[in-house]
Amino acid sequence: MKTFSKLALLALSASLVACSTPPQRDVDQALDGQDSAPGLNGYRFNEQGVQVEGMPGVQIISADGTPIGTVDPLSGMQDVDLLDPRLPTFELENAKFQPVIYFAYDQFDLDAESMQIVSYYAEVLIANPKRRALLRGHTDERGSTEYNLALGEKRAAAVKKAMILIGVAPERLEAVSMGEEYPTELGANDAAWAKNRRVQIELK
Amino acid sequence: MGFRHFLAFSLTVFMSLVMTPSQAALTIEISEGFDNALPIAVVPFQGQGAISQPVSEVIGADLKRSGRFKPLDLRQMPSQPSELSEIAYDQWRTFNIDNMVIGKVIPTGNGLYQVEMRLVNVLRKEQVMGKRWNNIPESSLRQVAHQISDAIYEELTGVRGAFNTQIAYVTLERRAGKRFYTLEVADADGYNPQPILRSNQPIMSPSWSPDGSKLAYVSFEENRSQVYIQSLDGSFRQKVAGFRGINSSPTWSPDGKKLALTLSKNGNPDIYIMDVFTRDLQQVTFDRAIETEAAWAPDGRSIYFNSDRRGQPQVFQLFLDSKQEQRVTFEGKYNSNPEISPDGRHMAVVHGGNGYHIGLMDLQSKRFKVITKTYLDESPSFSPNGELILYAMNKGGRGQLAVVTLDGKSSQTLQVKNAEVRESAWGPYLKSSASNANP
Repeated sequence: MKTFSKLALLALSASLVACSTPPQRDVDQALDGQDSAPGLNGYRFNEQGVQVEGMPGVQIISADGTPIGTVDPLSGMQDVDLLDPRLPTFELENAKFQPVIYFAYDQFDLDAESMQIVSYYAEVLIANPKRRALLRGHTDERGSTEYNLALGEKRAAAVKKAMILIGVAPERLEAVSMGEEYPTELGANDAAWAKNRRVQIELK
Repeated sequence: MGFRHFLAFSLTVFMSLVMTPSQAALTIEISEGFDNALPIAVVPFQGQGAISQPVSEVIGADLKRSGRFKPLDLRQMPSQPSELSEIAYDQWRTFNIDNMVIGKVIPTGNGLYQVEMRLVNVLRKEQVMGKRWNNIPESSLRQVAHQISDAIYEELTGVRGAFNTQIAYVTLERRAGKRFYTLEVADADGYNPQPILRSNQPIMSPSWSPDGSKLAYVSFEENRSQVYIQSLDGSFRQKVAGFRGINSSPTWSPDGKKLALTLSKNGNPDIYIMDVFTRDLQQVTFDRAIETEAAWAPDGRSIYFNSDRRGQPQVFQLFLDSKQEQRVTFEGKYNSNPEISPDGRHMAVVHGGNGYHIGLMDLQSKRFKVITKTYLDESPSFSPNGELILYAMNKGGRGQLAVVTLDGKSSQTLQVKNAEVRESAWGPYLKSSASNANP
């Protein structure tokens, strides 16, 4: 029943997004003449100071072996593990929403407010075909750790499903659960718990 | 993927352990009194003053922790006999004590000891039990003390003692913004902690193999939850589940041949049963809800598990032959992490709602009661004799372990200095008794 209502909400939200989205949607998600503004498409990433040191196979080198230019760790490497901690997370400049979606206790449904954030970042991804997203699901500390690990996965999967419905290719998204292991707030109170029940969107 | 390959890997993991042995020691603090506890006098053993771990104190603490005994305060003892002929029975009548433990620790050279104990019925004025251990090194004296506790417990309660067993748990230390997780194995009273694995990523859900030789657990060392099996002697470590999605909640079957675990490789957290030798996987739950935290019934024919298919976590039972499922918990809106007692009679769960406490269900009468009063309780596991439950809780803002009797009337805190303790699991009976202990 829970799943049913969630799907209904998703379908509804997705259709709302489809109606309100300007015609800049890039259906094929490839850089081509159909794009109104190829590349960043209005979104700017802060790529300064981003280091890709130690990433295997991502250096572009000259004939004599000297590294040249800035390297995008993901360009041409769609099989790279998004969970690799060496992979930088890109920050969006002047982002309309923080890349965090919060959840009610023991829930993984996306409400209208959450769907706004999910839609926004789905659009960011659609407009920037080189970027991928790691969706980290978290829970608060209450209850059993293993149930929380599964709950975190449900939350990350809910965001992933919503983004796919909006039009992001599934292979550009990775959902992972961190369970209750990585709280942002350490306190054992309602305010801290509310901040810890979240999915973090990391643009890679 | 030969044996040598993962041996080499495991060696790199263990090197750091050898270099920095854990200094953490669990200390025990009695937090509640005992109502119907049996008074007993555990008299200081003659000669134990010269050793670091007084044998009688270990025995007294064991018996006290069980909730079934109330050892007489040392300062109240009218005398300290160490042999039958030294007991002046009249002196002890006023203390309302039925039983007395006396003994000796005698150095026999080369750092070895002989330990002698007698259990005496003070009313009948006769010896109930006498035992002697020869050639015991000082480092094994605690083990001998636990064996004495086991013998006394079984003699006086009719239930096998579980003092000479081990527990596993995870500690978390935060230093300079970094996190240090350690999987440790210690004696059931918290002494002799041995680190098994260190990581700066989470370690979860240790589960003992039924023979006590291996642990299965979840490690995030590759940045996602994956299931590993590791032998306690350090000779063997292998990743057994590293599928896409979560790999978690491993639990050994009672015959040690299978592992129930939770995988979401098909898009949803479901329970699978893995053949430990062939690694063949069989999916056993198929609902679109969360299904996790499998616990085997002692006969191995059914598993209990947590499912939120009704919108909130509740415990269900699945019969593996008939595939029939039934809901087991109905009390409140949150019952997770089921654990079944060794005799199959009781089930412990994490019970949510008004705080998070350990709940206990009598699986025959279906009666349910909350047995802890601590805060954010989780991770319950039964002692191998089914008399006690070890669990993790939050005290003073950090995770600690506690032991509680099934009636909830007596509980104790185990505390690790400078670290949070969590994810506890009580191990099985040890196959062989301590080293060369028995004469």
